[in-house]
Amino acid sequence: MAPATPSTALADQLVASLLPNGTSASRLRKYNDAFSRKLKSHNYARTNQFEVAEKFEGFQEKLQILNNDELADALHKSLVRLKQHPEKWLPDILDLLLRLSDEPTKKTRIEWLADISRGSAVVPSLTWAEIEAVHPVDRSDDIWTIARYSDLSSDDDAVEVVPTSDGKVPTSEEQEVCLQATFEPLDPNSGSKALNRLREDQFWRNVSTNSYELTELQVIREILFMLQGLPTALFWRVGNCYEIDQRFHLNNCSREIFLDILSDFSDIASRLDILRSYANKPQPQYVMQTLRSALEDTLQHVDGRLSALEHKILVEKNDAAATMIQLFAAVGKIVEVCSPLAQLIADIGSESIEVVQYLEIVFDRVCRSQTSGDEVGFRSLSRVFLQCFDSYFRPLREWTDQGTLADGQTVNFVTTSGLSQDPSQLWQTWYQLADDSAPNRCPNFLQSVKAQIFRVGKSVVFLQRLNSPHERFGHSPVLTPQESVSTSANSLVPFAEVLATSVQDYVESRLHVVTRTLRGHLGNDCGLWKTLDALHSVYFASNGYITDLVDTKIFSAIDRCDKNWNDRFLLRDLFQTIFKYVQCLELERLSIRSTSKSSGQMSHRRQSMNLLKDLQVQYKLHWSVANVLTLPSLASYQRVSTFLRQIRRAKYILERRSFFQVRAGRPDTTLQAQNLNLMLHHNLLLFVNTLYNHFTTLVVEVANSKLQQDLADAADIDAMIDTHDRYCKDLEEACLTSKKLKPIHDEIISALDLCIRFSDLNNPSQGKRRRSSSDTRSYVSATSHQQRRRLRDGDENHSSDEVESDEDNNDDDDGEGYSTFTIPDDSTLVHQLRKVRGDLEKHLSFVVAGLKSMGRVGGQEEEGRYWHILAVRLDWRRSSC
Amino acid sequence: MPSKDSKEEKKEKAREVVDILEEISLLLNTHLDRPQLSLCVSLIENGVNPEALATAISDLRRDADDLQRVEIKDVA
Repeated sequence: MAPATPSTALADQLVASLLPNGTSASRLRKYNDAFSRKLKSHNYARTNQFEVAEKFEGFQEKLQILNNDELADALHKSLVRLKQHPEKWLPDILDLLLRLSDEPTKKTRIEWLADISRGSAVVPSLTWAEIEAVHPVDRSDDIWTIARYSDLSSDDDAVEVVPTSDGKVPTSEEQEVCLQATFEPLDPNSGSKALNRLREDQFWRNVSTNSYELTELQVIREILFMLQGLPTALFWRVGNCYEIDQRFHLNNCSREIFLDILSDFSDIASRLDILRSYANKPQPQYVMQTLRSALEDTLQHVDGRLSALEHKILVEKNDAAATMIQLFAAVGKIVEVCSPLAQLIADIGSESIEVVQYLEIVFDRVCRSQTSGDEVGFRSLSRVFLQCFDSYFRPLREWTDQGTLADGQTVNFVTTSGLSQDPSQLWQTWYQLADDSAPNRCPNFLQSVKAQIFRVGKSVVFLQRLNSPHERFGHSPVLTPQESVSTSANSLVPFAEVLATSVQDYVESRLHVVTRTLRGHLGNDCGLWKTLDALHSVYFASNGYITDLVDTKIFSAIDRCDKNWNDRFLLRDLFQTIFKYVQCLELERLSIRSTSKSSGQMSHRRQSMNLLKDLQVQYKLHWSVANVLTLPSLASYQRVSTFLRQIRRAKYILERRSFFQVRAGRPDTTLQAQNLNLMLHHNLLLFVNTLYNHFTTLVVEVANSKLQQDLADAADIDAMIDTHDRYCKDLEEACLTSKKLKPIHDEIISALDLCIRFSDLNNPSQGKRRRSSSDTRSYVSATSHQQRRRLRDGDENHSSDEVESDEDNNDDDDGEGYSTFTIPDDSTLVHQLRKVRGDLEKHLSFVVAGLKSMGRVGGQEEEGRYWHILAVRLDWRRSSC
Repeated sequence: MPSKDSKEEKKEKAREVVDILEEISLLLNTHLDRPQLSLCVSLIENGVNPEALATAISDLRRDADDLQRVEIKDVA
C-alpha cells in the first residue's frame, strides 16, 4: 500500500465530499483507490495557459453575444482581480474549472454571486477616541454648541450648553442636586446618636399600656399628620371619625382641656376625611368626576398649606414656641373652604346620585350661602358648581354648536325620539325633550332656556341637512368663576340671576344666528314663499282664469256622467297643462288623488256636491318646507279647496247650464213658472256668489296676507309653524269646514245641491225627449239602461218607486243628494220649483241662524266677525226668496 | 522562519485567491463548493494534472449519481 501522501489525503477528502453521505467504508475505499489511480496514471498533457486564456476570452465573447453582459463583466472582473495574484498553478486551476463547467451560458445566474457568504471579519465601529487620536477636536469651537430650541425669539435668552465628551444632555443644577441626593442606609447596630435620637422620637413604638407623656410639638405633629390623612399613634380612625388614644397626655395641661382640643381637631379631620373618601371613590359620571377633581384640587391646596404650616412650625426658627391654640387658629383658616364641601358631600351621600339632582342641590347651596352672607362657602361652592356645570353643559354645547348628541348620553335632556328619520319630520319628531320626571330631566335653573336650547340644536341640524354652513361659535364657558364672584360678592345681584342671564345670553346669541340663517335658507333656497304662492294658486284659486279652465273640464265631464271624470292621470295631465303658466308652481310636485267610495251610479252621484270630495289635488312639498307647512295643516287646505270647488260647481251649473234656459224661458211653461224660475235662479246665483265672494275675498285673501306678514315676522321656526297652524285652523273655521261647524257646512252643501236640482229641472232628462245635436248645452241622459227600458215600457211606477227609494236612500248613503232628474207625473214644474224654493229657504234659515249664534259665541274674534258678516249678507238676501 | 505578519499576509492572499476562484467557479457552474474547490486547488498545487482531476471528478460524480439512484430504488 502506497504511503499516504498529502495528495492522497486531499484526494480522499475530495472523494468523501463528492460521494453521498452514508457511503460504506469499503465502497469509499474503492472509490478512493480508483480516484487516486486516475490522478496518477493518465496520459494528459500539461495545461496550456494560453489556450486557457483564449477559452476564457471566447467564453466572455460568447456571453456578450448571448446578451449576458452582466455575467461577462463579472467574469472579466474576477479574471482581472486574479491577475493581481500571479501564481504558477492558476492556469491549471482555471483549466480545471473550464473542464468542470456545466453549460454556464444557460444555467449560470448573476444572483449566485451575491449568495456567496464570505467569512469576513467584524469591522470594529469607529469611536470618538480613535477620531480624536488622529484629528484632535477643539471643544471650544462654536460648532459644537448644542442649540436649545424654545418659543423665545430673543438671542439673549438662548442657553449655551457645553457638550460633554460622552454626548449626554447636560442637566440643570437643581436636577443634579436631586440626583445627587441619595440615602445611605444606617447600620442599626452602629450606635449612632442620630439613630438613638430617632428611636426616641418614634414614641409610638415604645408605648405600653401605661400612659405616655407627649410634648406639645409631638402632639402638633400628630395633629398635622392626622389632618393630612396619614396614620397616627395619637388618633385612631374608627369609621368616619377619629378617636383619641387615651394613653397619651400632655405635660402641663389638664386632661380635659387636652382631650377637648384634640376632639376639635378630630372634628376638622373628620370633615376632611369625608372629602378624601369621596375623592378616592371612582365615579362613572363625568359630572361627578368633575366634582371629584374639584375636591382633589381643594384637598391638594389644603395639604399644601398644611405642609407649609408644618414647615413653618418645625423648620423655621421662631422665638415663640408652637402651641396647639395657634395651630387650631391656623388650621381653621386653612380648612374653612372644606366645611361647606364636606357638608355637601355628606348630604349627597355615599351612594350614587342623579347628576341633575346633584346639580340642583349644589345650586341651591350656592344661592343659600350667598343669601346668608357666607362668603367662604359661597366661593368654594360656586367654584365647584361652575366646574360641574361646565362639564354638564358640554354635551349641550355640542348640541347647540354642532347638533350632535353623544351616544349613550344619559344626562342630556335632549334625546333622539327613535322614530322614523323622515326629513320632513325633522323639526317635529326627530328629537324630544326628556320628561320632568325622568332622571335626565332639565335642571330647574335651566328651565327658562330649555326650549331655546332645544330649538338651537334643531336649527343646527336643519342647516346641516341643508348643507348650509353656519357660524362656528366659541368654546368659552357660559360663566366663569371670576364673573360669578365679581358680580355676586359685592353686588346685590343673586347668583341665580347671574347664571340665568349668562345662559340666556349664551343661548340667545346662538339662536339668533342660526334662526336668521335658517329662515334665510327657507325663504330663498328652499322656496318657502314660492311654495305658499303655489299652494294658494292650486288650492284657493288665486288665478281665476286658470282655475276656471280646469273646473270647466271637470264639471262638464261630471255632467256628462263620465265615470272617468276623476281619472288621476287624465286630471294630472290637465292640471299640468293648464298650470304650467303659473310661475311659482313646480309641475312635478303636482299630483292627483282620486277616491271613490260610493258604488252608486254616476247619474246619481253627480247630483250631489259630495262627489267632488273624490278629487284631491296634492302638492308635494320640499322636505324643508314640509317642516314648516306640516302635513296635517295641508289637510286643511284640501278641505277648504274642496268646499270652494263645490261652490264653483254650483256657480258653473247656474251660469253655464241654466242661464239660457231660464232667461229664454221654456215654451211649455206658464208665465208663473217662468217668473218663479227667474226669481229662483236669481236667488240661487246670488246665494252662491255671496258665498264665494265672502270666502275668497274676505276670508282667504285676508288670511293669506296676514299669514305672509306673520311668517315674515316670526321669531323662529317654532313660531312659523305655530303661525301656519293657527292660520289653517282660523281659515277652516272662517270657511266653515271645521268639525264644530259641520252642521252649517252640510246645510250649505245641501243648498248647493239644490242648484244641481234646479238646473236639472230646467234641463229635462233624455228619458223624455231625444237628445238633439244642436243642443250643446244639454247633458247626456243620466238614466241607466234599465231605467231607459222601463220608461220605454211605460212603467212609470218603477221610476216613482225609484225616486222614493232613492229618496229613502238619501238618508242612508251619506247624503249624495237627490236622485231624480225627472218631474213626476203627479207634479208640475211649478210645484218642483216651489219645493226647491222652500228647501232653499229652510237651508238658508238654518245657516243664517247658525252663523249668527256662532258669531255671538265667537265675540270679538276674527272668525266671529266673519260669521256675523256672512250671516248678515245671507240674511239680507233671504228675505227676497 | 517567515514572520507572523507575512504568514498572515499569505493566508490573506490565499483566501482572496480562493474567493476569486469561487466566483469564477460559480460563473462557470462547476458545481464545486468552497471546500471542494480548496481541495482541488491544493491537489493542483501538489502537481495533480487538472485534466486528469477533472475527469476523475466527473467519473466520481457519475458514480455518485448511480449510487444515489440505487439507494432511492432500494428505499422505494
